[in-house]
Amino acid sequence: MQSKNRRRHFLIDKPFQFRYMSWVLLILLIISATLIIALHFGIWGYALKEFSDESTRNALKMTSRLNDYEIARYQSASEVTLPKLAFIRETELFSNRQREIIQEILSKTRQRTIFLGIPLLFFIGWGSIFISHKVAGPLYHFNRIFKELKTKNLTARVRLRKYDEGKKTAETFNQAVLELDRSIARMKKAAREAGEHAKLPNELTEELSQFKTTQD
Amino acid sequence: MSSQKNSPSSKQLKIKRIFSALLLCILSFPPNFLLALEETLSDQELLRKIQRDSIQYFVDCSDPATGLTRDSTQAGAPSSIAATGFSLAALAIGQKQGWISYQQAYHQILKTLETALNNAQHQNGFFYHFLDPKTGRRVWASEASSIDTALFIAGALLAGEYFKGSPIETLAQQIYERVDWKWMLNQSDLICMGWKPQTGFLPYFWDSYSELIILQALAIGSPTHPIPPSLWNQWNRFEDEYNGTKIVYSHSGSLFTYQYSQAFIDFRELDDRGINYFENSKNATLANKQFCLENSPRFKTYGESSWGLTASLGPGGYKAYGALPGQALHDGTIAPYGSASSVAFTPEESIEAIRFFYENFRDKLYGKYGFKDSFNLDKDWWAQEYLGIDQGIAVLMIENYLGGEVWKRFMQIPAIQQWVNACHLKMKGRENAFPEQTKGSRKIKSRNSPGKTKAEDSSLRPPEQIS
Repeated sequence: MQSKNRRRHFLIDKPFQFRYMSWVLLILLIISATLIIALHFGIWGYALKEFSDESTRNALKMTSRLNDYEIARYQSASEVTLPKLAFIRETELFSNRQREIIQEILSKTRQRTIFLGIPLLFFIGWGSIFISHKVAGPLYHFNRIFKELKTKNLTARVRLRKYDEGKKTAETFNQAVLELDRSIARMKKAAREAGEHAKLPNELTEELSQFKTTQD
Repeated sequence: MSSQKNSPSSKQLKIKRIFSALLLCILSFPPNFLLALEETLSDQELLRKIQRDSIQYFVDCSDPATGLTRDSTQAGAPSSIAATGFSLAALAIGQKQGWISYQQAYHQILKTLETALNNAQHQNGFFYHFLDPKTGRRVWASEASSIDTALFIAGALLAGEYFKGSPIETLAQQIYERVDWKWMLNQSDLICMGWKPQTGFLPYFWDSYSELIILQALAIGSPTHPIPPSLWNQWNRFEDEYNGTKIVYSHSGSLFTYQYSQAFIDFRELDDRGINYFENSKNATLANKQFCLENSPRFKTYGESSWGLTASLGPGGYKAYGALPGQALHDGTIAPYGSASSVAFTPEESIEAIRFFYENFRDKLYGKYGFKDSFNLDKDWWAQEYLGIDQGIAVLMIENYLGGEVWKRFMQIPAIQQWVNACHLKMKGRENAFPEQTKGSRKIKSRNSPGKTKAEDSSLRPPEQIS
């Protein structure tokens, strides 16, 4: 069973919501683009360097050298190692080295991503604060004005900054408060004038006196 | 006519002719003659030159950020922990000789030790054989190596002796004390060659005479994780005769096996149940020379002054070349560092060989870091590389020959004295080689300046206090 209070239309304030959507998309686009570029150039930059002809040649030379070192040290191996077996061992050593290089590339890329990610996090944090203050500011003002209204102060008005969101709402709200303010002011005036000729109930006069209007 | 004869143009022509004749004369001299004209070095000058140039390897081939030294000058070579150990010793010697400033040597050694303590990948204190020179991480799936760690520790402790009372000595001791030598026994009576994370202990043990002595000495003398002194008697001392001389030989018969331990330990006065390893190395070196002479009809490289079969690069890659007694693998490749590093055992023969190599093959065999690794005349093959451990052993052994400075300092290390006493190595004319060490005396303290506090002893001051 669907709740009666469930919102059926999500686009309540199209310009406002589209504007926010654009901001969020823009931020995500910047983040994604930065990460993709960093990963792409990071990985490929290292990979191209590490797997260049020269590097591969050097790695193969070192592979052969390290195999020779092993044979020289573990004398028993030299007696039984045939050239083909030596080649298998060299392949194993080379493969180990290639895995180490890939790990190193990923590790360096991870480090670089983290290095880039930290300023990005700050940027996102700062961006979200910057964007949300346009909503949070008006909400704070509304909250403050509601408190004033609770104390029956009808002179309070919502005043928003130039780029704040909810300006139309504030305008409508201020209009409503203004109307109420005028109405109460008129009632207070009528009560004062009537009080001279007719006796009004004390409760009414007391209640009206508690309101603070722009006419007071 | 006379005016024509004496004209400036004819005079110039004459001068030109004379210069041309002189130039032709000079160019017609053999290059060796010109080289001889260029410089004639005394034996000591030549040895010092080789030492100084070899030390430069450790300055140039060590990473400036970590201090870790590359295995060789081959592009892409990883750092080797043994080469780094030799680097620590070489820098200390270079500083003492005045070739490297105190500041430079002090800071490079300190940086290297800090890397070793904090960043270099290790297992129970045993460093991996090959490390990334920039990060200290294990590379080439190498093993946590017992002998390479021992060579590093020996270099570090020696550097500590040269920079006594400074943080270098403290750090070296900390790195040494971290090594769990017992663990490397793998519950056996012999020290294992290494351990790998994927496969565990290697199936190879240090079971017979070789460079293992330095490893045994440090393991037995350890103040924190010593192995039982009884294990000193567990490894084999195989003996064989060569030309009537008995030699306790290593499996490969490579010269380096007779040199590595004795680069640090002074065996001249020590006796191990009737074996004097100094004399043994001397005999093995003479046998190596003799072996080369006997094989000189087969190989052009070998000769009266051209010998030195030891592990080195060769036309077919790196090989544990050696002579009899032992495996005696050889193909006509000689490593000059082999004969040079025996200079402390056989000064006359070694200097003759060094001079021969230097004076005859300098253009192909000698470079900015001293002698290149090896050569083979039969195959007209010349190594283009320098290897860290090969440059290092030459530096230390020359230093020992020219004054025994390394031996003197290394034998003062309490752990070494502990090993000598624990293994009952006899010093000539004495029952105990060193007075018994009290437990507290094994900790770092000034031994050079008895009665002085650290503040009073100028040699203990950090470099910034020394003008």
